[in-house]
Amino acid sequence: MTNKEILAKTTDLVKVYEDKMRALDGVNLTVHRGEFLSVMGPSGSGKSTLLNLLGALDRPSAGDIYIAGEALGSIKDLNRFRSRTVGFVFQLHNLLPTLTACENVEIPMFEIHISNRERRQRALSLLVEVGLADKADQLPPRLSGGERQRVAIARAIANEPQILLADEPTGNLDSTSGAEIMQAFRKLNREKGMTVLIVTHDPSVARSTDRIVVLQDGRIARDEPVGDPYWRDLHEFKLSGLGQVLMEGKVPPEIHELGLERLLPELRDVLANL
Amino acid sequence: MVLRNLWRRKVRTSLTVAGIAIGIAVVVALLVVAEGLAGQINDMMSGSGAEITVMQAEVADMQFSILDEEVGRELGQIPQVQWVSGLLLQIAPVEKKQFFLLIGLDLGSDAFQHFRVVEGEAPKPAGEIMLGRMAADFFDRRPGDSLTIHGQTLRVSGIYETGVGFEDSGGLIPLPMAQELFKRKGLVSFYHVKVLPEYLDELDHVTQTIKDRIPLIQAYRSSVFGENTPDIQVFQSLAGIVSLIGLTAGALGTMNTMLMSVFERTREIGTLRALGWRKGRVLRMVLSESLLLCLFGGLVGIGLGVGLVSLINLSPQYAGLITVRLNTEAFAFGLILALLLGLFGGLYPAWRAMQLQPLEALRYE
Repeated sequence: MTNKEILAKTTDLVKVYEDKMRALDGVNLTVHRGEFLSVMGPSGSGKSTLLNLLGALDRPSAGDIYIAGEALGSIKDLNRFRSRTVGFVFQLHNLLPTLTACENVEIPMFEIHISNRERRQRALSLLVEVGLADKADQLPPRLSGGERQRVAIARAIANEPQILLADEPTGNLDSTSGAEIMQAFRKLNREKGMTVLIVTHDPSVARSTDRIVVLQDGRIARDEPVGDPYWRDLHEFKLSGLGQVLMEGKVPPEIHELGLERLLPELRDVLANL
Repeated sequence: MVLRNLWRRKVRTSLTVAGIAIGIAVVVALLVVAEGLAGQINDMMSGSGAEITVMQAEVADMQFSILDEEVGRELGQIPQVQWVSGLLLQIAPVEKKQFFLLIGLDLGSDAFQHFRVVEGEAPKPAGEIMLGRMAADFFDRRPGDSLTIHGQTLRVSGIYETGVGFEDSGGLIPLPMAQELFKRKGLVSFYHVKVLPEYLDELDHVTQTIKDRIPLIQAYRSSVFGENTPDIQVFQSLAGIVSLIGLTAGALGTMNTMLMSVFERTREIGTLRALGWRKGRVLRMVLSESLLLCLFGGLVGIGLGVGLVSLINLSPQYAGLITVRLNTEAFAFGLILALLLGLFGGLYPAWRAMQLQPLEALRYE
């Protein structure tokens, strides 16, 4: 999936806050177009700061950020950058409660000057993509946590950004909903070639991406591929609904149908040790 | 989106709309009343058929205007003038507990043609009064009955109609009798001045000639006399002050509501900015909400204002005194004021919203 075209790059990135806290201390990160990676680290490691800088929500104290060949520091119209180049998914979905799912997806499209009809059409097709075709007219309070986050994903990709930035997107979800969200990101990455960068403190979420960047005290401590796709797929299976049922000690009907009961102890053992 | 943002806090929005509506209602009601009063005076003065009305200069109230009959003679000598008719107006006590407008008029003058006798006959020079239709109904008097005015019992000779509320709710007596009753011998309040037909195109010039030739008087076209009387001008000034106070309160209320709304939605505004919304779009959103809020207030206020004046109109004592007309100017003024309230009340909250930095707004708890 990954090719060699560099989509985002940071060089010697430093962020020092007003209270002298050094959130980032010389981060050099390269993200290739089409990558699906995660930035992991404990609280205060600088991962959200890095995401905010990449998304032009904040400015670095030192160092440079290049996205799609453009230095962020030289971009005059950051609104345009935020509306077209990056897509954001927040931990708390941040949907507007008075707008329907479809209207929430339409929000970023107000900045690209298309007709109301086209905006609506595009929002509806995005909701179809995230599996919420039947929820278009629902208000966020009537949606489940996972559904809200899927609306947020649809909203984030509304203007076809070059990179999708997600800050703890599964942080407020149960494991089943979390797995659905990760599958939605994976689908976007596989089918649309969308570059996805996820910030998480959850190792199991990070392991369902292709590459994990570990931040420690504002520096990159490790940057490595997740490894064998076999293990990655197995991990995704663990996060899926079926995997969850198995982990709870129940026997899903599919196992009976396939006559695989004898494999259950070993499968549970493998999943538990992932 | 704008409408739904407003409707999110139904009680707060409704209370703000009610506050604005009351402010606008007061303004509209005062405007309609002021115009109604001025219109009544204009109709009264124009109804005589005279194009120009003359009163004493620099008096605090119409009722205090006193002109010597010498003024009438001088007016009559002006070449462009066809006829002159004196008029004494007094707010007189009736039956010791009510007041009404008593008109003293030369019954032989052309101005008397304006009073259409519908019952009985015109009053005789001594001890008789003719009542306006509304006054006759209000005091329940018919020709032949008696009525005590200013401590003197007068016989009702007849009932007249002019179609002008002030006149129809008052009474008419011969000018000499009025001068005697109110101890104003040889004096009148106003002069109706009829201009010769060939000078009708030069009314402004004739008016100026009158003012130039006779000192200490004020002359106006009868059709705009009301607006120029000190009574209406004082009323309009007071109305202006009351309106200003009401509108300032309305603007502050709007600003408070919109500021609260912006504070509550800090995270949402941060989200919109993070998703690429420009500052201008955020500003427009908040301002639109403020304008819409005040537009609702304005529309409700106009309805309330008209209702208020209509209620006054319905009361028997004031019936017909104020004519509520579909006054598009007052409505437009009310709406424009409401929108200005929205603009001023919304500008600062919108500016605050616009200044929110996306990241800080997103972190807002």
